[in-house]
Amino acid sequence: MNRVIIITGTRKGIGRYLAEQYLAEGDIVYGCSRRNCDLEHENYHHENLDVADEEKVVAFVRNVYKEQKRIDVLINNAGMASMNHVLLTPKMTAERVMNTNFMGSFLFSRECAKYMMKQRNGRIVNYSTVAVALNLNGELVYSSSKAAVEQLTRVWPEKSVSMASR
Amino acid sequence: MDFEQIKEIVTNVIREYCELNHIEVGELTKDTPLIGSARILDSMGLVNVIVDIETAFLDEDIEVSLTSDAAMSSRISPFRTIGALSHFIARQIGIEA
Repeated sequence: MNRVIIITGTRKGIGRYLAEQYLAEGDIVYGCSRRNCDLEHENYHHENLDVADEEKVVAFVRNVYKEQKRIDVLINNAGMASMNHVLLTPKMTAERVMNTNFMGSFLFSRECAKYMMKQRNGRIVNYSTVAVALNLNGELVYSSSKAAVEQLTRVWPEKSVSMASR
Repeated sequence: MDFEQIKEIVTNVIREYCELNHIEVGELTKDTPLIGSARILDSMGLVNVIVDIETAFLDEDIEVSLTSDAAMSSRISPFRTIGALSHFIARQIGIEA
């Protein structure tokens, strides 16, 4: 049976390549991005949304479940970086990075896990960065947001769904 | 949909969860407690039931959110009994004022 996969941030980069790969393998992919995406495929569904917008995320995930009656995999791919020195990082930038990287992963995971728990099956994949492990200078806000994603992955209740950090 | 149908969905979901997890409960009524010392579910059971109730209503094309700020911050918890939870859902979908 073809898998139903949600991938955030499919407009470009890793998210785009993953979407194309899974579509080529016959899976059904639901993607999202803030800006328009030109990926077209009969099994690809796209919506423009901000992953930190709770109302939009809830509606998006609900719609996937309503259409497919299951969600097999969530890939929390959407992310943004800020390489500014901490003393030159505006609050708004810090909020945007935290919102996209942590809040986006949190909201999508929470909503998808509801349906995955019901079907007693599902996988969630989160992304971290070497900047966390290596404590890279100049990436404080970015690595802090990814450290939060790592902790989300570690503390996630095992009884709900399988979650992995990559 | 009326209140009785809402209560029936809520009760059925809880009964199914209890049967599936070998939790022995007597008759489920509107006064059956979901939290507190006499509760029939543990905390993880309540989480599972909340999720199952949300999706059961979604299968009926009715969207309810039991993890909303309103539900979590209410002075009197909507999760205290099957009846209270059913009333909370009824208010959320506009059946009760």
